Amino acid sequence: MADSTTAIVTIFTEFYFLLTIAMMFFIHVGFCMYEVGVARTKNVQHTLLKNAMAIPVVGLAFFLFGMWIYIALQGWPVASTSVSLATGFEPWSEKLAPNLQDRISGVFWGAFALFGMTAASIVSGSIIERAKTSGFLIIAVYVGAIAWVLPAAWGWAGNGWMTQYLGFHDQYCSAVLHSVAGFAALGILLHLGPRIGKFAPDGTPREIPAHNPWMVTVGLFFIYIGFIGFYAACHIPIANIAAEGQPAYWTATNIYGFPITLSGVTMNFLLALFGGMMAAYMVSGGNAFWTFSGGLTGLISASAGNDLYHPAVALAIAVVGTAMAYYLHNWVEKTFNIDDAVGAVAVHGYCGLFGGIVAGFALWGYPAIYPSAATFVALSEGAGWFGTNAQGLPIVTPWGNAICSLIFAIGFGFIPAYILGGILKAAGLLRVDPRVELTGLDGESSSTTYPQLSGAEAAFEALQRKESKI
Amino acid sequence: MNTGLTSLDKLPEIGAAYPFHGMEMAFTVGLALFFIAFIMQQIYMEATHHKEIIGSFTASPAE
Repeated sequence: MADSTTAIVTIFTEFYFLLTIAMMFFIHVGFCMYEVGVARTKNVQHTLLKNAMAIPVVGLAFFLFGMWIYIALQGWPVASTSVSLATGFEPWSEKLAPNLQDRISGVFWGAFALFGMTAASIVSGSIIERAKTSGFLIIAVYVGAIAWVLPAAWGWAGNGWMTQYLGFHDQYCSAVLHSVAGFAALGILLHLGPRIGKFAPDGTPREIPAHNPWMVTVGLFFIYIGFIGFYAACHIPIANIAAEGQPAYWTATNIYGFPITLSGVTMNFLLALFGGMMAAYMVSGGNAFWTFSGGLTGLISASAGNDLYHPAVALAIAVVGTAMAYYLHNWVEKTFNIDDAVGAVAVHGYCGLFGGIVAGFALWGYPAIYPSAATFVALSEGAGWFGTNAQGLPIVTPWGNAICSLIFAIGFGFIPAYILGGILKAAGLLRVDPRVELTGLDGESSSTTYPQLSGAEAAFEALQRKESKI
Repeated sequence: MNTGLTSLDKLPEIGAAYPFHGMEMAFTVGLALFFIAFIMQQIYMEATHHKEIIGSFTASPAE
């Protein structure tokens, strides 16, 4: 890079995304701790490995085809019917390997792959203690590398046809990722069924005690930290978005090329977190599980528009979304006997859908995109079916956001996952045998989870003393 | 064996900087096969593990 401005912008962007990737791994630390904490001792190792293996499996699927879907299908089938096999994100692309002409594609890919792993992990928690790892990993490939990726291509890219023609806005993936994964979990749970003993004969849900509530608490805090990285990865950190011939205007932008401030985003992130925790604390009567999950319900409810909301609006949306999720979760659990072990359907599904729809009202009239050469966002011909602003840019509307959010949650989350769940069930890959469930999915390995409690440590100690001959 | 860069004389012209440049398609096929093999092995491994658990299952472990 001969030009110093280009060098600074490129290397800053490269380093920025690298940091977001590192931060997003905390989401997985958190998910692992959370799920393991909720599981009973006899299922701890299985729960940990089931979740952890989603990371490499989804990552490899994302390398093979996930990222290509995002780049190649942004206009398909509405704005363009052609599909390229030369996007630069095919697994055989030179750009995804050390290449001195391209310093961004790899870190950009990494951030997206982490999004995909997060989506898969959302399903993981809801099905613990009775799901087979094999079935889960197949579900994970669908949810992590396909289900949310096509919605992202259509509605979470400045050049996506839903963004351009329907004015869809979902900056931090309320509907695009969370609602898809949450409703996919619901589709799977309908086939999977509840854990043995979860519901009394009259249908009353029973509390299955978490084996380590402190691990659950710390895990959720780690997810909060990872969420900051998730938010950061949804930006273009530095770009000159001025039109040709105009004075330079350097700024961070949202995913749609619209100028934003990280300062404003930070305020909204924190206020949504506060609102969610406080609302959950209130509606649940101080239930610790719900209070900490409330941080996530608040964030996910406000995420669709958290790039542009006032912090008070972010908090208000977080409060309403959290209360809705709490009551809806309890009603669905009781009415349909759905055993969602970590509340993923409510936290991600209901709040994600709610957040996507609410953003259409709160940001009504905002330009959905801001075209500029630096962000690669260009205005499509005929864009803005639901209206344009004075500049001719498509605008955000309640119907645009509602239609897209519902298509994502139901069309990409619930229905395909319900079908996939049925196929896996028929193939015997979804649920473990009741004898395995009762014994515990760790089987004989269970004694090594807490050897000081199971007696394994004492047994070895006795053996050691006997053989030492002292 | 020379499989990659041997000189950095013309830095601005250098793109791919890794060895075995030109074999990307073969790498892709290899990765896809590894991916499928992993899933197959996982299904087999889990079935074996569950068979062992079922074999040693007792309805009333306290007795």
